[in-house]
Amino acid sequence: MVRNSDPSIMPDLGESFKIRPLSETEYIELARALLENTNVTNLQLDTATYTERSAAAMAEYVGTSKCIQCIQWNGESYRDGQESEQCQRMLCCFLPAFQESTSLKELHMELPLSGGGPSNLALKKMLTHTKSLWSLDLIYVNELLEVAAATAVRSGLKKNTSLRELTLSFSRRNSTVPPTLISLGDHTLLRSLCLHEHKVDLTGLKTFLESDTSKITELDIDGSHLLPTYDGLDACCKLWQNVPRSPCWDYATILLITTRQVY
Amino acid sequence: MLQALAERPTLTMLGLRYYSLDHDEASLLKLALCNLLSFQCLVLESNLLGTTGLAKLAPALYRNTSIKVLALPSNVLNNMQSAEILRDILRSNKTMTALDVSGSTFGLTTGAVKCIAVGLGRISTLLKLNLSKCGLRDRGLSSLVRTLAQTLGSRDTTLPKLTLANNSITHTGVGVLLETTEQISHDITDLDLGDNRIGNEGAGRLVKALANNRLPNLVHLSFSDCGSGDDGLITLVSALKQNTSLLQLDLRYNSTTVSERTFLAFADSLPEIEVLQRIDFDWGTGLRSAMPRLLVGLHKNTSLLRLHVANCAPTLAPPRPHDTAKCAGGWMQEKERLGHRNRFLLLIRSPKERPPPRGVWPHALARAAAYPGVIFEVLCCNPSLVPTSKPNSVPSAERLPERLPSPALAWVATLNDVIFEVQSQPKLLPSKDTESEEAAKDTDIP
Repeated sequence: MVRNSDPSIMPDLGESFKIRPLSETEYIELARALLENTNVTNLQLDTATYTERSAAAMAEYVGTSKCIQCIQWNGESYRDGQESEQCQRMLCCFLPAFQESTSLKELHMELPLSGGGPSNLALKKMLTHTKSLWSLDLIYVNELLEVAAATAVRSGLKKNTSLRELTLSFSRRNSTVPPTLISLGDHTLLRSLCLHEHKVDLTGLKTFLESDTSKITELDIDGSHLLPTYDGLDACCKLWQNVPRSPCWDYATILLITTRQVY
Repeated sequence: MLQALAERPTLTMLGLRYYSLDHDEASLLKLALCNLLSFQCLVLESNLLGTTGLAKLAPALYRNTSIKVLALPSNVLNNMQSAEILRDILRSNKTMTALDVSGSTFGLTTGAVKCIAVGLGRISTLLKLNLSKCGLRDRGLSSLVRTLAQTLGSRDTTLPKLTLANNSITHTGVGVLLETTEQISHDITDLDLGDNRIGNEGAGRLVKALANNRLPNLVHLSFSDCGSGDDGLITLVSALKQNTSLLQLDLRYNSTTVSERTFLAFADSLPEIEVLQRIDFDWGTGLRSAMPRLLVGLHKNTSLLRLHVANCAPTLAPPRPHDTAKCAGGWMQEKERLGHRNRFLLLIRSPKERPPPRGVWPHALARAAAYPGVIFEVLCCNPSLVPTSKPNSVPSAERLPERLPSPALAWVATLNDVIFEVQSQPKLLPSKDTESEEAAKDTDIP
């Protein structure tokens, strides 16, 4: 059914293609079938139950498929810090596949909490070398993102030449965010920046907005809970008043500030 | 920040959601809006704006000569004072094309609906109005449309897109709406009546308007979750035979008691439906048992591009037996195939002076690569596409659309074989005299 692009296996409109837990052989068989499929464009990857061989088969599919456009990396199984080794193995297997893909335009992924090591390098490489990725949503699931991982994100984004939209989502205040924001100032293609969720630390935003090279046109700040916890908002406001009409600001046609308050 | 916004004349869109603007901030926003000469879109969602907040903002909106979209959903604009401010904004503004005041229950306040309707009647640029969850009920809706009828009068004013979802409207309100709409505006294109208690009787009133094409420009109708049963839905789908405008009809979530009678009526109407392109139903046992006849009807219909069945797709792959049981008999594959066939026919029949947008052909070819039968049928009913002699090579690259996706290239590689197959069965090809007539009619292949 998968091989023949049978429409009856497809999820409802707008949903991603989710795979139930399978045996190693079944995963490999499914990966081979997906290579011939032309319907699946949006895939959710739940890698917690993958073996090395099944991961390699699925990664090969992701890296070579000409149809896959959107991937959701489900990090739910790794959230509690357990199975970090498995998470690292999977990231090292799939990140190069994301990098190689020529069809992948949209990626949503939860960053790992710990474990570091080779996956950070793979993450940096993926962000640096991807040619097709247009939109990236990075979800920081806890306040303590490993410094090395944050550095890898920063470094990769700095050299990235494909992204137009970036979303950074947080569940808690995260000290690694301001330096990341600062590094985005040099990104020459990024048009849309979204900062979502709770207690967004805006101290890095000032530097980002000051950048002459930034082409940002959409800024979406969506902070849950209380607005007064926004650090650096005053600095940003001041900046907007004082910044001269530089060419970069001619692009700033859209400012979307979204703040969610929990009642 | 709000002060700083005033210094940014290039700003065109501002969204503040769940922000709880206080009075000072509303005043600052007003100052900013007064200075933004190219500002076009203001979205203030769930800000608990209330009468005081709206009053602070209003002067900026009176003067603004660039704003096109004003979205104020869920802002507690419930009382008469809020209605008067909204009316004055609508009276003064000359540029607004879309207004969203959903989620404010001003429909429960005596006189508020009429007051806003007076404002609506004064603005000639408005194209889209969202009044979902406004507590209108039949009384409020009647007041709205009757006041609009009086104020619009002979003025050249239209309101093409109207959303009235979730307003406790019954068949009475629908009757008044249709009666008045037919009189005041023939230009309504989108009507959303979803999540109201309209029932079979209301569906019957809608049927009269659809069958007689009294809303000649209506292309999108949402009748989802309207509490209609078999009787109402049967008349509704049967009216589609006479209707010449409706492209999309949403009939989901109407009643758990909808039986196969509704789907059989739709199946029997399908051969005569010439315009409808998309219809939405729910999965149910009635649909399952009616599927064979629906497929017969779909085969004879050449307009429907998508028959969407909600709650049918599997949530995980590979599907479980109960998921695959829903699709037993291959109806979903056949439905998809026929949808692609009709898309192709639509493309081929599009007038030469109005070619489809760039990229449509490559996409259609890519999809058709998975359905060679579609190409066969299309070529059979459009012999002009088939070369007179057997082609010796794949069509030259310069004749192909730019940036063909790889599945389309795969299809092109097999094109010779398909054309040869069509040519080798001349009895399937219509004669030259009847060529154009056949192309416009049936696509049935023996």
